[in-house]
Amino acid sequence: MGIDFKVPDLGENVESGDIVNVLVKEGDEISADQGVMEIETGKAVVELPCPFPGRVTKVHVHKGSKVKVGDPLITVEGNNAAAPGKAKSAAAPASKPAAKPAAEEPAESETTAETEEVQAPAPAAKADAPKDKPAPAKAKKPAAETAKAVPAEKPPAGKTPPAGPATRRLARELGVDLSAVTGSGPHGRISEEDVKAAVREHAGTPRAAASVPAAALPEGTDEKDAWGLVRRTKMSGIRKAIAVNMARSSSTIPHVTNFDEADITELERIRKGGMSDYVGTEVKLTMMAFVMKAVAQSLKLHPMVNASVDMENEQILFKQYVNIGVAVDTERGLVVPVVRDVDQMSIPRIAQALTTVGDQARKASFSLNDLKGGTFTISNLGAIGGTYSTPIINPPDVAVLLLGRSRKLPIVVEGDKLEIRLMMPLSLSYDHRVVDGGTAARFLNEVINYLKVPGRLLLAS
Amino acid sequence: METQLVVLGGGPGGYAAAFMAADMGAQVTLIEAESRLGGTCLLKGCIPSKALLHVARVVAESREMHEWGVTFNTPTIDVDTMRARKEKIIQNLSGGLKQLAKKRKVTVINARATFLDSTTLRLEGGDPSTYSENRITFDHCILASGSIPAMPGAFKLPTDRVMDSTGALNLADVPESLLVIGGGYIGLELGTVYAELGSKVSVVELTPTLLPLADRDLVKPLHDRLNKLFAAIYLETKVTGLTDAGDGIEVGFEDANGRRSEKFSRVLVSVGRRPNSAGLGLENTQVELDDKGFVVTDAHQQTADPHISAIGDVAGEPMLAHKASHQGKVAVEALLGEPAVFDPQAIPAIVFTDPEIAWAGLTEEQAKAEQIAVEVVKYPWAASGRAVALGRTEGFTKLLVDPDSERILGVGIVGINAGDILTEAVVAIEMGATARDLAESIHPHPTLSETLGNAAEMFLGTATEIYRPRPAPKA
Repeated sequence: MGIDFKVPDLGENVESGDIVNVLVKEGDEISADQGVMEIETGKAVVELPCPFPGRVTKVHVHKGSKVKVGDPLITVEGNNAAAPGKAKSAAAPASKPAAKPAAEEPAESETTAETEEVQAPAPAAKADAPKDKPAPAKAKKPAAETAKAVPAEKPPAGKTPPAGPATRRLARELGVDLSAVTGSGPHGRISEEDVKAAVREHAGTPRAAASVPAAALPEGTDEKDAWGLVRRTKMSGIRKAIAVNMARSSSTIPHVTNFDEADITELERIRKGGMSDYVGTEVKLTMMAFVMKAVAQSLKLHPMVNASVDMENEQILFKQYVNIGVAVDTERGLVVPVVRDVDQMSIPRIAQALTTVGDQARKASFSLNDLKGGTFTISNLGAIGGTYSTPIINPPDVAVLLLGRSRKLPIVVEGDKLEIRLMMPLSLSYDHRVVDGGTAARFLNEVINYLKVPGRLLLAS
Repeated sequence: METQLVVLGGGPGGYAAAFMAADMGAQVTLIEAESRLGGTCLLKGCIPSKALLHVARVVAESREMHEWGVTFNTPTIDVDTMRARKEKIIQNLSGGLKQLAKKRKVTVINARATFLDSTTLRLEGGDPSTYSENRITFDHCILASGSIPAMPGAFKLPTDRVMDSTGALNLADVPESLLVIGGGYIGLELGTVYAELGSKVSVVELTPTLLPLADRDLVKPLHDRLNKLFAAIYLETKVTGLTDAGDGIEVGFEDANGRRSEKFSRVLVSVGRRPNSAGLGLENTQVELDDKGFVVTDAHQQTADPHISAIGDVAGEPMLAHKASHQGKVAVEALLGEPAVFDPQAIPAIVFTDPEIAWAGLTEEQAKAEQIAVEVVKYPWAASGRAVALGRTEGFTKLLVDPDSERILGVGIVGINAGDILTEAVVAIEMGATARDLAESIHPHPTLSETLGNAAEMFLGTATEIYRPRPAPKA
């Protein structure tokens, strides 16, 4: 009596496939988990390892056969394994005995052992996976807040990818999962070159590859979907907050975005001239400080943009203070610390405050209060790159201003002359429930004028 | 006082971490409760025991020279000179560490330190001139507090006739008889020293075997030799109690044949070591301990407390100096954002007895327990010209090879100087080398290290000095 090895659950709603290659013939002796078929599922060609050792007494399919999950592929006459094998085919497939020696994995899986276990088509292999791992390692897992890697899930000896310590370190540096790398050396030995090649392959173009080192993935658990390796990670608290806020803002506030640009040629000249006065102090006279001042002055003149909406009571709250939130790009995500009473501050003082909140945000040494009470938000995306964008309002604000990257452009000036001017792209998103297009445009004009004629700005209180 | 990095513990883990951190530009304070740097390894472990084992080896070899027609007189032993020489070695090396610390501008504080919270240590005792305040705050601490010999309460007697390893290394005298409780590597190494110096040494072990962590076949040649060197080896025997009889210690034994007792001049208790994690104020931090008292860390040696890493003996088995220093470097690099993790494929272990036992990577016992299929090949040293020349053919070199990939997964060696030839095995395992890689690397002749290449040849089916008909090629 033989055991039928049937088409296992191929996962991801795959129900059928084509046999592209039959790797065994009747009479062959096979070992446990030896690959016996290659099957194409529309998503990939995978090799099916047969969990039962013994002699192949019948091959039910041939090259080109269409098969469904559950169809018999081969019949194996077990020698010593007949009894447990039988129990296996009769009972749930997951009851494969724990006795499966780890090293019986097919040789091909050597370099991919870790992921194999996760995506191995035979469900039995899945159930076995945890048993292959040393149990006490689990206990080594430190508290959840240590977000770093944990040695717990170490593959058993011989199942680790064959790569030396230097290669392993390079892989960590480049964020490459060695178990997903095919080594070019004898017996799949992985070289540093293989690791680099894996990076290039993943990145598509060699040019993009250069940015891959920085794109090392955060800690998490690797799994495979139908298209390849994916890493599942937990959302950080900050990311959850951003997600909730942004989704709520985007779905409840009717956003309109105006694009414009400000001529900051003169401002830049003044800023550069003033900078030397502050050398050696903590004051960094950034363009942002000037923009904040311009925005603060403009908000005072256009109170509708410095308000919030109370839909429940059908009221509008006009804020009689000007607190500007500054979007700071940190390692953990976007943080918006608030600088208070910007309208009452001098530009150097704003600059100083900016340095402080920026540092605090990056070091995460701010309190929750530092993020509250804003009336308007400025995001300086241009510091990283890009011209125009459609920023999402940070409630309870009713508007957000995004600064693009300033660049020199040929501008037609008075007398139909062309001049090279330094232009700053501005994108203002506003809550169309309370801010009308005209209001927004007038506010933005105000900001632009302040920036264009900085003398006005300097005269402002 | 304030510092960027505190390293708590001046052993091989601690000073390696402190020195590396200083080399990488950190401001480092190294705190050690002992008056000298070096930790257990240098002050009361690896180094002094190896100094004494060197003596033991020379004594044994000069005795065995008889077989060559060279006969030495029975040596006279001056324990005071020997102790002074051993002490000088420690002083020399510890002084060197002090100099290295100074050159690297590592502040060394001699004090007992306890955690008040995750970023503060209280300092007391030691040498108060090495610290200006009794508190030090830090950004990060690397805990390297090591381990201490386990001394079960029942064996604690108010007499220096009952010793732990530290007491035995102090070499107060050469007792007429010595009982070693515990057949682990510490007991066997120190038992060897005392036996060669002239004591009648007996070993008692609770389990059925000496060196329970090593593969049985590796232990056998050592066991055979110790049977001659030692007065007795009692396996599966329990020590029921110790009594101070004035001129010796009366020891009660219990085995399958019943109870009996025997008197020994001295008793060495070497029943293991335990992590030094109590009394450090760790309860005032977020550091977590496992049920054996080891500090729990991740692969970056980071504990559950974001301000504290832990390395070495206090951070888990195996309690070995070379593991500690490696972890120390991993911890420092990880702190500085380097992609370092502790992921050794092989941590070498050596028992410095005569013959030595050395292994790295997978052991046969482990392969069995974890059901990892391996092919085992053993190359007997009787086939090694060098071993024959040395008159020490009891050893062998064993490889554990993955039958599919032919990778070397583990190596075990027993024989004289086994520890010195193990290193190649560690590199091979770390590099994922195959049997062919080893076989086709030319090994120098005539050396004992050749046996590694020879064993790999055996795996491939043919070895020059061994005749073994080739099995029919697999179908």
